[in-house]
Amino acid sequence: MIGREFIVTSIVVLLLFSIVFYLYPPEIGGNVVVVDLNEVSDANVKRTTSSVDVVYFGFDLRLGPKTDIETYAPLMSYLSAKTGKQFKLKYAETYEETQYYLASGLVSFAAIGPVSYVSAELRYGNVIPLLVGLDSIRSKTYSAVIFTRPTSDIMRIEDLKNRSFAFGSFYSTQGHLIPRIMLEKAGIKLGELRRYAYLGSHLACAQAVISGLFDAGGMQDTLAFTLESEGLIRIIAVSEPYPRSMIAANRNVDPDLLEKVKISLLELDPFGKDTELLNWSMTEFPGGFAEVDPEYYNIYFELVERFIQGEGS
Amino acid sequence: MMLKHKLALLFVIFLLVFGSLNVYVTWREVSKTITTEALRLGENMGYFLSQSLVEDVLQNNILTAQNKIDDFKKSNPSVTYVYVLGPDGKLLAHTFSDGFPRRLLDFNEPSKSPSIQPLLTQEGKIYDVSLVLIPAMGGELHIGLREESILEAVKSTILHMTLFGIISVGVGGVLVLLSMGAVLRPIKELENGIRKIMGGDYGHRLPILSDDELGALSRAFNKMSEELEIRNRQIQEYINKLKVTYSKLKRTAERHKALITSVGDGIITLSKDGRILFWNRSAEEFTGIKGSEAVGKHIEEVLRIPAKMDVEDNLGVELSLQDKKGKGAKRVLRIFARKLSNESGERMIILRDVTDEVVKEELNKKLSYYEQLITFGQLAASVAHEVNTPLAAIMLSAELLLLECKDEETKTRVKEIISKVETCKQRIDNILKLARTNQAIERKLVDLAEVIDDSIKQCQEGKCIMYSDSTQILKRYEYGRHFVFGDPVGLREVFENVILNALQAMKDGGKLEIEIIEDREFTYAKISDTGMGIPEEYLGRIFEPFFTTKKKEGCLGLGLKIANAIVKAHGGEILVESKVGAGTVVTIKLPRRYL
Repeated sequence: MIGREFIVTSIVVLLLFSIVFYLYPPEIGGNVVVVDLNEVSDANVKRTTSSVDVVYFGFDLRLGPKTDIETYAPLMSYLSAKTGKQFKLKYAETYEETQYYLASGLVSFAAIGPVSYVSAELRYGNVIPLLVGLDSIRSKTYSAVIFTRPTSDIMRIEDLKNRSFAFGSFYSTQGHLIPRIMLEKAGIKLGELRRYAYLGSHLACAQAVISGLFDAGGMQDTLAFTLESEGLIRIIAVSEPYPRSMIAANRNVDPDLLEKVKISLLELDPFGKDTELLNWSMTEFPGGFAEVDPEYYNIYFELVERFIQGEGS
Repeated sequence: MMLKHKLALLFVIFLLVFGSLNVYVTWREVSKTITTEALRLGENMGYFLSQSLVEDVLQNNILTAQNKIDDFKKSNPSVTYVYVLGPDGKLLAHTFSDGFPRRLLDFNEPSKSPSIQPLLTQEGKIYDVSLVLIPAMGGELHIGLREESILEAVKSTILHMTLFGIISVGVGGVLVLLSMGAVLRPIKELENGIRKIMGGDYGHRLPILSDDELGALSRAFNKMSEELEIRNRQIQEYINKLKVTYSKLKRTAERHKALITSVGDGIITLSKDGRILFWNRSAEEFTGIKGSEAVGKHIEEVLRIPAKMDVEDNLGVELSLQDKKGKGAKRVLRIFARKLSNESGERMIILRDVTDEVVKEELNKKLSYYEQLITFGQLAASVAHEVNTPLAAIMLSAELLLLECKDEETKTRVKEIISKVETCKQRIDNILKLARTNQAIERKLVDLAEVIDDSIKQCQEGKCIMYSDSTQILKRYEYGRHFVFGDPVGLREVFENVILNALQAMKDGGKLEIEIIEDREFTYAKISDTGMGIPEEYLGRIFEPFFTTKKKEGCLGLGLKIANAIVKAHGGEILVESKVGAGTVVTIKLPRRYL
């Protein structure tokens, strides 16, 4: 019967389809390219990519390389979209490197603390503060804290004599400069400490104290308050407010780009439309940015010369 | 093609179309699955590796990074190679023992998300999965995955989908085959029912097998067959009535046909465009044309009847027809036209033989005319006699007075009286001659040449006062050859009149030619002149009494009338042909024998 023949034929056709399909599966991931693995060379192997329109952005190491990169990465995407340039982070292992990169123009912009700014300006010149970072209550100032473990017998700064003390980075405003000022005001000089060290970041400083390597430490207020709320540390002193960290720029950056970056950052609204853009609490500018005069940071010049350059040199 | 075959064909078409679609969709899905799987595998593997490499790359710990990727490759058999590029694009570490294949850098530069590129190498097909090493900074981590390892993961999926597709189609096909018989049964019943209805079995009904559309179709069929049964009964009754009516009509038609065929009038029916539809026996008889020859032709091809003759013309049109052999008397037919049907535009032509009526009418006219002539002759003879007597007395007295009269003026006036009296006598003679033509003439054998010569002589001697000397007279006849039975005096009068008219027509001279010819029955005296000719409008009136164009010359207009009367009394006729400016030919036709 014709009907049955048709059905049988169609089943056979479908079967053949399936077999062919099973034996010869479809290509995936686009066109296949032929590569000779024997054509080798180890010397100067480098992918050549165009660096035109790439703008490098530096930063002071705060919470560690990976964490800081992850924190700043969305900001780079935002600035790329706003300015039409490709913004890339430039990693520097030290604060001095970042200062050099910014002053020399290897990076055009950088998220740095006042100490780095003043140090670069004093050492190289050619750096300008572009915007000041705001805290969660939109204040242009911040503080540093001196903290211990919750179980420590240290209750006051004065108790720190002959005790070990951890600083963050040497060039950190909150992790070194302000705690130094606080110690000095309490009548404690570095030599009166049993031992002290610069651990490179606020997080390293906190971990060192929590782990018992050091009796106390100095660090930035925001992270300290978070750690205290979790019961990991105890804050024994909070400093006076000082001008906050900034976005600084090389003086030779194209004014149009400078203006575009400035406007783009000022437009950010951490409490509204841009809440999800960054992990704001991990930054030095949880309240966004505000315009600032270079004179705003004049207070730091004398302090840096006394506490940083004097010892650093 | 049977319905079941159509359904099967439809099923196969659907099967092929949707089967192909299924294969295509499966192909797409599997392709997507393989790609996703490869990416997922590469991303999963690469994520933790890249996380562990970030610090090393940032701090330029190349040796540590190299150790990490070597360990990674060893612990993952599906991985062919791993290599790492720094943020500046520089190759930092790789797992190739014989050196780095630099061509690998030509492909698969990662963007934000992981990307994949199939490569065909000496070691088989490899999928290069690449990831950005450090967000917002750059650097790349590339992992080469063997194809087998990816396909292994999806092979079972393909197998299951294929088997499921085959089983679905197979089961579907078997179910369709099984259900086809059940679906087709009501249709077969319907087909049988239709055959029975076609065979006249209107009482056939279908069983209702279901409540679905096919059940509704069966019910509709049963309703239809009931209706057909009723209608068939009604039609049969109607046909019987029609048969009776037809039989009556047929008899009536036969009677009418016989009537029309045998009626004395010719009856012809015409279509709207003038084609002959019917032609009865009388029409055949009148025209000599058989009905079988006439029917189908246009009426104008058969009879000289205008095809669009006014059907309301009750007076009819007369038509003279010779009988069919062209011999015998003419038949006069009167034609009437009538409408047969307004709707079809058919008309009927009636041919009525009115020959007897016409002949009777003409005889009556002639009789009346002859009676008038006899009365006129008798009156003219009586008047002539009454007038001639006093005229003779006047003439005699005038002639006596002329003899006695000395005075010249008186003589002139007396001569004028005598002239006028002679004119009166001459005119009275003419009237008497006209009267006499109506009486029986005495005939004797007459030499027509002699009569014509006497007539010419008479005209030349005195009668024609306008005769021109330059007129040439040609005589084409001989004495003793052309004899007729007739009245010599009357015939002389005839030729005198005709020749006189010819001479008067040539006032300025010309040529008068007289010729006598004859055939078996008639003698023709042909008198031709080159005169002014007679206008066409006068040709029909030249034989009317008192018609003349020469009143100024004192003509009465009786000459040709008398001549025509004399010739007709001899059984002949006068024929006149004329052309203005060219001349006139008068032919006097006389029978050669006395009839």
